[in-house]
Amino acid sequence: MKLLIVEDDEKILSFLKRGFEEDGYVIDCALDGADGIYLATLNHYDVIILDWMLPLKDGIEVLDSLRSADITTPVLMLSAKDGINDTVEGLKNGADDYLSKPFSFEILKARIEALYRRVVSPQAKNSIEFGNIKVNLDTKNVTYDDNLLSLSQKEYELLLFLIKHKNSYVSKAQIQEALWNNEEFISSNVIEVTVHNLRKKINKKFIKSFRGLGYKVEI
Amino acid sequence: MKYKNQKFKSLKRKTLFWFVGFVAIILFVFSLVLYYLLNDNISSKIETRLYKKALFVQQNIPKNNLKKLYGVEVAILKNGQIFNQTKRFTLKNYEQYISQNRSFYIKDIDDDTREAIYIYRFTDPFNGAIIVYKKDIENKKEDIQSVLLILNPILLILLIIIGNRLINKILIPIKNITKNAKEISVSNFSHTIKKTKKNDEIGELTDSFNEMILRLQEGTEAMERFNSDISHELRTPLTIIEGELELCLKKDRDIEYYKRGIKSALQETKKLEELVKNILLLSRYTKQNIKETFVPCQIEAILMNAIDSCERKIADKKIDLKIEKLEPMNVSANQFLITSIFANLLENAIKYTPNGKNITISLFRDEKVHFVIKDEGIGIPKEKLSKITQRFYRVDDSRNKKIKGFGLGLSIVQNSIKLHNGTLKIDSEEGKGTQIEVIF
Repeated sequence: MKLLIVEDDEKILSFLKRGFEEDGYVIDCALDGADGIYLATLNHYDVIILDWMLPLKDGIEVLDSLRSADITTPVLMLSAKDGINDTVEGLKNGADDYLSKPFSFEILKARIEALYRRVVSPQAKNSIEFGNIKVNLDTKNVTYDDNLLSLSQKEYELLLFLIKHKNSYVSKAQIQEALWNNEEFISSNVIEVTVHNLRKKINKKFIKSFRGLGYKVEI
Repeated sequence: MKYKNQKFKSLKRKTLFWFVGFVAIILFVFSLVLYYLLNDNISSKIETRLYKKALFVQQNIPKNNLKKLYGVEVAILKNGQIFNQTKRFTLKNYEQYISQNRSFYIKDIDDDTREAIYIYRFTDPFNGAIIVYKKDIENKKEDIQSVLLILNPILLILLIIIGNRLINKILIPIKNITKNAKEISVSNFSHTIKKTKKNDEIGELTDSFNEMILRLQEGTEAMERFNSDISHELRTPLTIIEGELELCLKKDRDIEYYKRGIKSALQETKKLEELVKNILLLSRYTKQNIKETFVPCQIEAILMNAIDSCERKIADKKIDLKIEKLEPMNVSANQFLITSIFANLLENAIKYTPNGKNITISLFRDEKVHFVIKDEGIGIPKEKLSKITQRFYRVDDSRNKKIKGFGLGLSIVQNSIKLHNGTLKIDSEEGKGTQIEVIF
């Protein structure tokens, strides 16, 4: 899952990044509102964590810009404000969830996952099915023909990404953008290896390659 | 609530009761006096009339003429026997009146009519008496009585109604004020009282009440702002502490990771500690208790100490600190607060002055103590000058984290100077620098 965290306090940003990366998330960071808008319009993110009080542009302005640019990525707002009015204002301005500081990291993670679940499975179920493949979004267990697969973090992310874009082509560039963060430079070889490994674990024909177009999974 | 309501009613009733009661008593006494005065007057009027008739009859005895006596019947007695009488003289038992010494009688016949009898004794032309008798005299006495009996209750009822209206007119605005006062709470100041048209006592009360609401509102707002500011400043370090420690405990990690987490948590704890210290500094002293803490202070020594403790920061930023004037002086003041004034102003100047620039300080005394600190820093935009002494206010709205601070420094300085009956002057030009002068 790829997250954008827009937070001006470097220390908060630092532990959030460490915590999420440890759990296999891909994290991009922005220290101010303008940077946040730039990254959010440039890349696709699964969920955006947005602080309210930001330099240059505050959280509400960032939300406004994103929503008016038709970016519908779920946004969780973080704020030191915790009045009922603040919560309502945040949600009314287009945030999907609201968490006031200080917060427990585990609760933040659970809320992010809940938001993500809505993106991947509109029924908000904690599992998705794709042919013979079942993915449990909570435990991250993947079964194929009822056999439990042991997937690496990236393989799991790749599988979810492909299922999300089922029946359409995804390029290596899209995969790179979704699975790796802005600062990591990887060779296209890494993606090929991941695809190869996933194919090996599931089924050779599961992911189809199309020269010049990319990869595709079909149902 | 109910109790108060009843009290309000009882005030209205009490006022009405006393008002109506007093007027009723006055009315009653007045009626009584009127009744007796009128009564006497009517009786004596009838008596005079009958007496005049008698005189007229006596003068006419020689003519033996009993005509033109409209309204009365007359009998003339001679030696106890009727000598002459009008035709319709029907009075029986007149002897009983003659045998007595009185000359005028009013006699009730039944509830509605009465008769009056006047006995006039004379000796010329013979020894006799004239009985003037009037039947069916109009019942004036009862008329007064009944008029008073009807009029008085009507007056009283009118009085109650008018009194009630009047009292309501006075009390309803008060009732409104009470109603509004009940609705006002710390969380709801939306009720100001609508002003009545006139500048009367109620208007004055309304005004004072509204002013009080406004003052309370301002006070509460300031408190709320402070609370929200303080909670914001407390939340950030707490978030970091909680996050770092949670991550440390999430799974077994190497010792470097723990060290890093604990170090970060410790730093934030120190930040919290400083914040709490500053808040206490802002609230501990008041105008009332500050005088007790005054001791003779060597102001220049305190300033030098403050400069010494900033030495490292000054050296790090390669700032050139010039001391223009430094007059020794001994002043009675709160040493702790004076220290915090110097420390905060120096720290601010250093914080906002770019590397390699100058800070100029002078301390001198005329009638008052002057401390001037001038930096070549980023300056303060004009429109923000008035706000910079507010708690937690930082010129950069975005709370640029590169320059650390809570925004409490100048607020503490301002407060400390006020407690010393001093003034704070700030001149600043954006981009060129700031000059702050403290006079106390």
